[in-house]
Amino acid sequence: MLSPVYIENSLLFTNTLVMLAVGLTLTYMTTKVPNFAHGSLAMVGAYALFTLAAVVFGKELASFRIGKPLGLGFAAAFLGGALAGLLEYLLVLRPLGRRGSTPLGLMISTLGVDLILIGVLNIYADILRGMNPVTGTARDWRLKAYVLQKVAGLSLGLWLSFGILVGSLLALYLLLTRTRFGIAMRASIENPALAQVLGVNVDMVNMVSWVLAGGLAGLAGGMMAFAERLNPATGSIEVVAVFAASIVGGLNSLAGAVVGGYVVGLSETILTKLVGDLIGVDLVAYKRAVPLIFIIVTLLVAPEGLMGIEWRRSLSRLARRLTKTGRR
Amino acid sequence: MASLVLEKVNAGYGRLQILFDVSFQVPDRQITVVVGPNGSGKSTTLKAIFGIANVYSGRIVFDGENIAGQPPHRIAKKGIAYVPQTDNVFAKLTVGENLKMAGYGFPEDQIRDRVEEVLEMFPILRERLGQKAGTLSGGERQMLAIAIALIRRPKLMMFDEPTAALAPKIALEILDIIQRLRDEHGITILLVEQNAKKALEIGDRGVLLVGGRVAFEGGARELLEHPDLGRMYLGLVAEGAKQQH
Amino acid sequence: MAALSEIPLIGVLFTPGLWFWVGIYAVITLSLNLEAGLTGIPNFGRHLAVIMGAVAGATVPGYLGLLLLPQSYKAEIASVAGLKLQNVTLGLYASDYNSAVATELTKYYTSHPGVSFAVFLATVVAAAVLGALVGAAAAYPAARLREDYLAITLLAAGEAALIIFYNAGFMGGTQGLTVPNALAWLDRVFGFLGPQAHMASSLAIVALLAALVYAYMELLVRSPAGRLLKGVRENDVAAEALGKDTARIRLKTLMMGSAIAAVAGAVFIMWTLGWIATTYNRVSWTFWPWAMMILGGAGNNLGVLVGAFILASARQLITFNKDLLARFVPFDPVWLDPIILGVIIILVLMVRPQGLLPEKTTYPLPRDLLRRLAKKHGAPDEVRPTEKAALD
Repeated sequence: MLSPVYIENSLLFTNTLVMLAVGLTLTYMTTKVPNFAHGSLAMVGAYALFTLAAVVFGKELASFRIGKPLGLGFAAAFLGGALAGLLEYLLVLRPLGRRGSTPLGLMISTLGVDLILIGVLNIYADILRGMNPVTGTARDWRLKAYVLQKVAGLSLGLWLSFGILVGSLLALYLLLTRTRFGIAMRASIENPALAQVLGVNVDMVNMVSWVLAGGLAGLAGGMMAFAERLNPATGSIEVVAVFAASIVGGLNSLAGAVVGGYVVGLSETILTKLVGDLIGVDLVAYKRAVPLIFIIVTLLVAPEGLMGIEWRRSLSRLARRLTKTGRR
Repeated sequence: MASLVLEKVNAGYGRLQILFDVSFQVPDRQITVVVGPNGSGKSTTLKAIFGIANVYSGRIVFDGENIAGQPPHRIAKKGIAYVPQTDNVFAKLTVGENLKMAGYGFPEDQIRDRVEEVLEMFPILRERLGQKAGTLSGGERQMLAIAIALIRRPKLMMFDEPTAALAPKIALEILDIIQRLRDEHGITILLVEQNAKKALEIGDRGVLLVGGRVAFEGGARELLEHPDLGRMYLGLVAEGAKQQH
Repeated sequence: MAALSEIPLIGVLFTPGLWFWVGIYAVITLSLNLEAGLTGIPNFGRHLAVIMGAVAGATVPGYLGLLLLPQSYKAEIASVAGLKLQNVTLGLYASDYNSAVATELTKYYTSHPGVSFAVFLATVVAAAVLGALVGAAAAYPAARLREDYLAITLLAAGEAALIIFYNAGFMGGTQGLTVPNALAWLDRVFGFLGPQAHMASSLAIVALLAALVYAYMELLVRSPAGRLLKGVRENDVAAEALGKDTARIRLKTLMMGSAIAAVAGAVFIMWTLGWIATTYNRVSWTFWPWAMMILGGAGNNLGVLVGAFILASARQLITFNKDLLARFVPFDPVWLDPIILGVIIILVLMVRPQGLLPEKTTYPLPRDLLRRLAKKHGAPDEVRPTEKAALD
C-alpha cells in the first residue's frame, strides 16, 4: 500500500514536473523549439537558491526556518533561470533562427546549450564546495527540513510546493488574459506575421516568453529540492520526463502542460507502485521508463496531445463505429 | 504631394535579390496599382516597404521619412497597414477577438468606436462576431482582413492580391470596397494584383513590374490601353514606355 | 611505440586506445550518416542500437559459453564459488560469482581457439540481428512522425532501453558484468606482443569493421541506391510519386544502420571486457556521434571520419593532459568535455552547418568519361552544374 510519505514525495515530484512542463510548452509555443536545455535552466535556478541560502546566509539547509533565506532563495532562483533562458534565446536560438536553421537544427543547438550548462554548473558546484562553510559540498543537496516540518498534517514543503505552483500559474494566466502584452503574446503565438503587421514586436514577445519560461524553470529547480537530491546534471536527466508531460498534454497548450504534468508525474510515481503491488513485481525500479512509454504512445496515437484531440468529434466517431458493428 | 516614394530600391530575401533599382511614386489619396507577371516582385515590393523583406539599398520615403530597413512593428505604428495575401486573420480567434486584437496599442475606448465604424462598413461581419475566423468564407475572410487593417486608421493601405481565389462577383465587391476606402476615408492605396485589367480599371496610377524592374509607370488607364502592354508584360519590350510623372 | 606516447600533449595520438575510440566512433557515426545524413532520418536514439549490441556482446560469450563449457572448467568454478557442480548453471553468470565464471570462460576460450572464434561469430551475428530488429521497430514511427517528434521518440526509446537493461537481473543489474574474452582466438595470434595482445586484437577487429563499413558506405553513395536515399531525404513525396516505396526504403536503412551500430557496441564490449549499463548513455553514444557527423559534414563519409578523429582525439587529449590543463584552468578539466562538445555543436551550426567536408555530388562514372559519352550522344557543350545549397 502507499504510505503517506510516498504520496507526498510523489506530489512534490509531480508539482515540479508540472511547473517545468508549463515553461517548456511556453517556449515551444512561441519559438517552435523543443528546448532540451530546459532541465538545466531549472538547475541554474536551483543553484542560485543554494548559493543564497547556504552560502550567503551560511546556514545548514536542513535547519533553517521559513523566512528570508528561503524567500530570497526562490527569488534568486527565478532570476537565475530567467537570465539563463534569456541568454539561451539571445546568444543561440535567435541568431540561428535568423540564419534559417531548420527546427531540427534548433533542437540540436539546445542540446549544445544543455551540455554547456552541465559543464558550467559542475564547475560552479566545485567552486561552491570550498565556500560552503557547513556541509562542504554543493552536490546531493536537498531542502529536507521543509519536508520534515508539519503544518496541518502535511509537510511544509508540500504546502510551499503547491503555493509556488498555484501562484505562478495564476500569475501566468492573468498575464495572458488580462494584460495587453499577454494578449499580444497569444496573437503572436497564433499568427506571428499578422501580429507584426498590427504592431506587435514579435521578437520582444519571444524574449519575454524565454525570460518567463526560464524563471518558471528556476522556481521549479528550487521546488525540486523538496523532492530529491540535486546535482548539476539532475535537470538534464529529468528533462525527458518533462518532454513527456508537455507532449501528453499537447505542445500547443499551456493547460495541456498542467494536465500532462499530472498524468505523467502521478503515473510514474503512484501508478507504478500501485500496479507493481497489484501484480507482485517491483516495478518501481523501472518507473523512469514510464514517461518514455508515454512519449512513444502519444506521438504515435495522438501527436497533438490530450488538448489537441477534438474530443467531441472523436467520441462521436467512436460511438458510431461501435453501434455499426453492434448492428451487424 | 506624394505619400510614398520608392527610390532605386534593391531588395530580396537573404542572398536572393528580387527587386532591381525599383523607383516609383504612390501619390496621396490615390489608388496605385502594381501589376506584372508571376515572380516579377510585386509581393516583394510590399514586403520590402513593410520591412519583411531585406532592403539592400535605396530609399523608401513615407511622409518625408526614409523607412527602408525598419522593423515591421515600427512601420505599422507610422500609419502603414499591410493586408497579406494569406494568413491575414487570426483563424483560432473569433471575429470579435480579431477586431479587438486589431486595435493593439490603441486606447480601449478608441478601439470600441473604430470597431463600430468598421462593422458599419462590413455589416456581414456583425452577424459573424462570435464565429471563429477560420470558418468564414473566402470573401468574408478578406473583408475581415481589410477590417482589421482599417481599425488602425492607416494613412496608407497595401493589399497583396486581395481578389485571388475569390469568385468574380465577390472580387468586384472587394475592389468596390477599396475604392470606397479612397473616396470616403481618404486613404492612400497601394494595390498589387494579378488580375491586371479589373484592378487598373479602378486605379489612378499604374506600375508594371517585370523581372523585378519597373517597365512602366504612369496613369492606370494609360497602362491599361497601352498598345505594347501585352508584350511589355511578357518582357518582350525592354524599356517599354517608362515615364515618370 | 610506447616511447612516442610519452611525448607531452600530443603523445596520446600514438596510443592504441585512442585509435580504438576513433574506430568505434567512426563506425557508429557512419551508421548515423547512413540514416540521418543520407536518408534524412533524424535518429536521436542511436544509443538504442549500441546498447542492444552491447547486450549481445555481454551475454553471448557468457551464456553461450556456459552451455558449451566442459565439466573440468565447471568444476573449477564450483570450487572457487564453494558450490556443488550441478549448481553451476546459466544463472550463475549474472550472479555474485560473475567474475569467477568469466575467468574460467576466458581460460576455456584461450585454449580452444576454434570455440572462441565460433563464439565471436555468434556474438557478432546476434548483435547484428538485435540491431536490425530495433531498426525495424524504429521504422514504424519513422514513417509517421515529422522530424523533431521522431527525434524525441527515438531518444525516448534509447533511454527506455538503458533503464530496462540497467535493472535487468540477467545483465547483472546495477553491478554490471565482467565479460569473458570473445577475442581470445585473436589474442593468441598477437601473443608475441605480450600484455598488449588484447589491445592489438581489438584494434584489428575495429579497423576491419571500420574499413568494411566505410567501403560499403562509399559504394552505396555512388550507386543508384544511394541516390535513391538522398531522393527520399530531399523530397519523399516526389519519390513516392515516382513509384518508390519510401516506407520500405526507410525500413531497410534503419535496419542496416542499427545493425552496424549494434555490431560496434558488441565490439566495444569485446575490448573493455565489462558491461556497465550507464556507459551507454545518450551523450556518449548519440550526441557525440551527431556532433562528429555535423562537424565533419553530414552526407560525406570522409567528413564523418574526419569528425570522428577530431572529436575523439580532443576528448583523449583532454583526459591525458588533465594535469597540464589543470594548471591553466581554474577548475577540474574533466568538465571541459561537455562544454567543448556543446560549444562545437553550436559553433558548427552557426558558422558552417554543412560541416568541414560538405556533401558532394557523386557521379556513377568518372566525370571525363561521362563528358565524352555525353558528347558522343550529341549533348551540347557542358552546362554549369548548379551549386548545392549550403544550408542545413
